[in-house]
Amino acid sequence: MKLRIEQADIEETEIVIRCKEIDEDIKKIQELIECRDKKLLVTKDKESYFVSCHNIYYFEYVDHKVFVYLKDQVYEIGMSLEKLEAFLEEGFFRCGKSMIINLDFIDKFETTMGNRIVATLENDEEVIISRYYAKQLRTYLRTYQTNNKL
Amino acid sequence: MNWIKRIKSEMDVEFFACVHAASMIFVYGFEQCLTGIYAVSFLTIFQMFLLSYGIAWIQKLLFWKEKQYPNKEFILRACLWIVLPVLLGLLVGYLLGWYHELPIWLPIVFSLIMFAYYIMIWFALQIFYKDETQRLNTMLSNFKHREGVNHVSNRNK
Repeated sequence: MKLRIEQADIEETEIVIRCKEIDEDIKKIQELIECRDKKLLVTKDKESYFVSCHNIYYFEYVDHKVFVYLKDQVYEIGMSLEKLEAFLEEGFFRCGKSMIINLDFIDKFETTMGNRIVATLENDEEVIISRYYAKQLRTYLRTYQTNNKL
Repeated sequence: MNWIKRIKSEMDVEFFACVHAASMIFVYGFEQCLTGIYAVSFLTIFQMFLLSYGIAWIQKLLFWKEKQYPNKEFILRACLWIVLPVLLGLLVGYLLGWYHELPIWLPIVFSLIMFAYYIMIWFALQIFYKDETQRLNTMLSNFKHREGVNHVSNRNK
């Protein structure tokens, strides 16, 4: 497969895939590009914004509202965690009854007493993953590793 | 899900209760042997099991909250995790007459051995958690560097 990147004086970046047939590799590339561009409509101070999924650290349900946490900003979103779970792509993990976390922004894990996990995010925030979800997290990462033969 | 959580906690406690009880009975029985007594009554064994169950719950409750304990609080709880069971063993033993008509050194040695045992269990758990942490971080690192994902870390930006 040849890869060519051209720099041009255009307003919006355009990605064209020229192929003989749409095989699994091409589908994966398409999925990846679409995923990177997935955006969510969020609000803050009655203003609406679009934020890219790959900038989101985590989602949290507090007082019947779902909040979206970025590196140093917080927005509100009108979607339930269940809907978000279905909408979000690989990398997001339900780590508690009221939280979905982006694994790509986790700096490190630490297993503590009671088999719980403390996840330290890249912005130094700490999230406690209960024993129930800790087990699911281990299974998720292990399954990923097995499926991808890492 | 709440009842599953409770059952799992109960299973956890009962596992540790059995381990504690087995150690307690062994040490107590061995010391009895040294003094020329070759039988431990079932009542004493039963009492030790009940005490171990209580100890396991106390240890569980010491780290019950789902939060990251500050360093000092963690050390204090760890000390209580080790010391409280020893003191309870000594107190309950005296109240229930485990050391009745036995040499004075017996409860002291029993407590010292149990103290060493709880320290060992504590460190064994810490080694297990450290190992688990390492394994998790390796899996996380592999996941973050998965094929096709060019994740840009925001750290130190």
